[in-house]
Amino acid sequence: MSEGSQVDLDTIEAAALQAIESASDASSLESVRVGVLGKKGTLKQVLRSLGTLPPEQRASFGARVNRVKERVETALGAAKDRLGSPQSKPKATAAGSASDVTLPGQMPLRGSRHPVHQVASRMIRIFGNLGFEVADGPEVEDEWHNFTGLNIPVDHIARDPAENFYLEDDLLMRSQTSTVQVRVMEKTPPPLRIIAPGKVFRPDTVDATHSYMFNQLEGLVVDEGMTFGHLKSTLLTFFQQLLQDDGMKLRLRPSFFPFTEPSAEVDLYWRGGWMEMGGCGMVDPNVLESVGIDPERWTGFAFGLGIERVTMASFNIPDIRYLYENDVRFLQQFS
Amino acid sequence: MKVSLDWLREHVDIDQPVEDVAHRLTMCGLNCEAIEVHGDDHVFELEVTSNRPDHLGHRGVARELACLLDRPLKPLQTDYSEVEKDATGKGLSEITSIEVDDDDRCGRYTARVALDVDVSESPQWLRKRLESIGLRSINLVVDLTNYVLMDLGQPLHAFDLDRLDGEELIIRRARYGENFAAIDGTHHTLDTDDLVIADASRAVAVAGVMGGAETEVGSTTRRILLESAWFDPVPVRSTSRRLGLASDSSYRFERRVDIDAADIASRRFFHLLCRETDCKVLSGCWEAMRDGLLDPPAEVPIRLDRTELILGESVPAAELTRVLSALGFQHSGGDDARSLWLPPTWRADCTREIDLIEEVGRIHGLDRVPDRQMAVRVVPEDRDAGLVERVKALLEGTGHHESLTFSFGSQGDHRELEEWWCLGDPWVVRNPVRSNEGVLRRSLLPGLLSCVRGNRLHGVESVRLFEVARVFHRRDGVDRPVEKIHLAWVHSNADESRKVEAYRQVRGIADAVLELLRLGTESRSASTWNPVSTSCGLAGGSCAALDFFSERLGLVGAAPLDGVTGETWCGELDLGTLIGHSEVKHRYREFSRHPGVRRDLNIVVEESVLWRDVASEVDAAEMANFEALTFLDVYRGKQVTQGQKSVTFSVAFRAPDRSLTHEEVDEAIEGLMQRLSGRFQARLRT
Repeated sequence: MSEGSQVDLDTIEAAALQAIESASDASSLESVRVGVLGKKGTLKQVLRSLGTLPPEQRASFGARVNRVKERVETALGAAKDRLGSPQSKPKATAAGSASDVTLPGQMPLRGSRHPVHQVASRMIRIFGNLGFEVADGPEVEDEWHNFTGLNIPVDHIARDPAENFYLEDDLLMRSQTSTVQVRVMEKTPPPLRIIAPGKVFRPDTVDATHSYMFNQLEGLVVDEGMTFGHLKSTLLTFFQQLLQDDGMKLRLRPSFFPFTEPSAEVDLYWRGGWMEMGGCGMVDPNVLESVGIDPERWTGFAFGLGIERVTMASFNIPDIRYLYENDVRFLQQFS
Repeated sequence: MKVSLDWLREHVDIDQPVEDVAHRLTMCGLNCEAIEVHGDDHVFELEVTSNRPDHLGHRGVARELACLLDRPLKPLQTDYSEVEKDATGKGLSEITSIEVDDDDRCGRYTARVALDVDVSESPQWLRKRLESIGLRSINLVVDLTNYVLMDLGQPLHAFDLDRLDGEELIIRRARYGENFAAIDGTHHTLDTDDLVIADASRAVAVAGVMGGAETEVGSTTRRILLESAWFDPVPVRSTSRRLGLASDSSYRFERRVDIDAADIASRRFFHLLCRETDCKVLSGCWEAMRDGLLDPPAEVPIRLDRTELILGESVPAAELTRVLSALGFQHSGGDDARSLWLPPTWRADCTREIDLIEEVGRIHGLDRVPDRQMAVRVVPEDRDAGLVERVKALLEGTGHHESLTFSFGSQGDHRELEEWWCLGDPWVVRNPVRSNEGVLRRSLLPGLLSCVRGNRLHGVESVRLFEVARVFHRRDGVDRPVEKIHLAWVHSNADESRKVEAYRQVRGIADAVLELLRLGTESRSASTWNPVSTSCGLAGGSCAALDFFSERLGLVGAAPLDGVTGETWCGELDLGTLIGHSEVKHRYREFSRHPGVRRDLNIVVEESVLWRDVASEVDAAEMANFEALTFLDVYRGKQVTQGQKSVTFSVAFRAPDRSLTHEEVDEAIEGLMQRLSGRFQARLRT
């Protein structure tokens, strides 16, 4: 029996390869395929006889059948490339009527980055080009890092429980990314040039321009000889790079923050109006002293920019709440 | 604060165009948010920063303008004539007395008395002033207290002396539960933390916040007692907050009024009262003051070179002197290089050199400071940030939209999911804005699922979202939240899709991320996906966890959403920890260019046999020249017995140095089948 099967196999293979070679079109090739490999094909029939073999021979015989099958398949594949598949019409007519090439393509799924993260990434890249390294700090802070280290006195209104999200003990959600300034200065001696992007939390009433969580990008430079002029030039260069628009103007308007002095608001004039983008100033000597940096030797500047503000201005988004709804019809506009 | 240009002209000559004035104010720190036209007057809406209570009065703003425009500030008239005794021959000390019972909170209290006051309507000029800044005229006495308040920033309060019970006023803490009826018609229950002005029988004013209705000045008033005081800022703020009672007075006391203004404002009031109506002001003033409050302030030095270092521009000594003098600072010594100054009483914010430098910079113009470039500096590469970026790119490239949700969560909806990630109690937010945001989230999925739900309910049929953000876990012995960076993703489709495929797609994201991160060999062999037996908040029976040594680093499964049709599948990874174990090192490895052999196997096993176990058995077989194992399909149905399934996979072989013969592979496959049938009773499906 095994001997006979061997002969059968060789015959089947030879006949099949011969038929494949002489096939002149795709449909005759297909009938060869069905005749050999199909459900009632010759190879399949041989395989069915497997059960009649003594068990010790079955595996090796099965393997031989497989080998033949592979070779036939390879030959079929090659012939198919030569002749084209049976579904496609003969090549001679393909150019005329094969398909409607004006049908739309089938696009792969495309996702998107959140506009706030897109803008944050751009900001990080631009500040990176200006020599700023990214630093990180926790979203949950203690009063020392959120207030004391930033020269905010114990009875200051900014510490009011109603103005913050307090957790247990003296822990609270950070109300500004300036906390990262303190954390970096505690660990790293100057010179420093860092940015810290991240979420901040203030229980504001929600409206078109306010949210009780938003993203800020903090910047800090501490070095010898740093002046307000360096601060101004850094912010100007940043916004020029960000907006790529000669029509934009930047002004630093005197203001007050406990952790900088002199302090200023960063006002941006763009597309016909002034917008407040954040705050900045020279690092207050008390802040430097509280982390053991000598303010007589080192001076520095800091700034905090609202990432949502920049995002809304960049993409012309009218309402800050849209940024947190995560509606696909909104998000996919920024893909 | 509303500031009238005409009113400012009482203090300084201004002939510049309105817009110029507004701009100058804005660029010195008094942001002009709007200009209203009010008849022939203009009213600025100025944003006053919390460190400048002196700007909460017209004279303070005028002083700033005088300095900016280099014009003199006009002197303030405070003179008036006095009488020694009233008609019955009593002087001030016989008519009234003041006792300060709590001078921790009341730093200074002054009281003057006027007799035979005719409380008439206010003259036109006064009504115009008040109306221009949005105040309603009441009567001459009340209007003048408001006028002086808005002019000098010093709150005043006039009592009807004849409506006080007894002659003595006591400044004391309120009694617990003491009632108070305020001028604005509201009623309050006081607390022992509140400071009040009281007569013999009751509180007649809450100190610094509001006077009482029962002693207010009206048309029948003949004798007034004028309070001009200095209360400590913090208690005024807390009382005002607690009572929900705020006023122009409390607003100023909270920000600390000028300690020296109490007497000046009081005299200014009587100067104006005598000018507008016939009355007799009793000579003298009841006054109580805490020791040391009016002591001269410490001298503050300012160095020219330090000024230049901070501003980046040199300011001439003469300009520095002019600016500080015009703002009310007194030169007290030193030389040009380092001069000494005494800050005025209304500038409690100026105690250090940097404060004076800011004054000079502010008036000189921060915007005029020349640009200075910093030296070039190289930023080192941040490996971890780069990996997060690549993971995000992977998710974006596979059709997910990045989301941004809040760090808060609730203890309700997805409690099991949150607890699967962290059994420790959630960190509770004391004053959440929304009731379903009372804790810090331990998992990103609840927030993301709620976004998916919103999308689906709004008619978006197919939703893929992802987010990389922090979660907040509680760990024993750590007194603050452990913040971890997680990655979560969700697929939701209105179409009922085949479960296996939906699972494999959502799981495939996790696999792709893990492959991208290329965990070290040890970490990789320690991480396995296992069925989740405990409840994890996802649909039972189709949920897997990534176990990593004894940690849980990932979860994938189905999340049924109420009211949302179709299927929703999701996954979450502890991305931060995985990145810590990442060993991305791209190095060339020799690979075989010889043809390999692939065998597709289709085996039938019991339903309970897991792919994980089949795969580990293939690994354990240690077949020679084994290259890869690939899952192809699983089939359940008519062709296989109930309770069994047929699993199709391919095993690929390749030798490094030669073409493999079929015989070699056949042998290996045979051995593998023996192992599989030995362990799982697997048989080939034919």
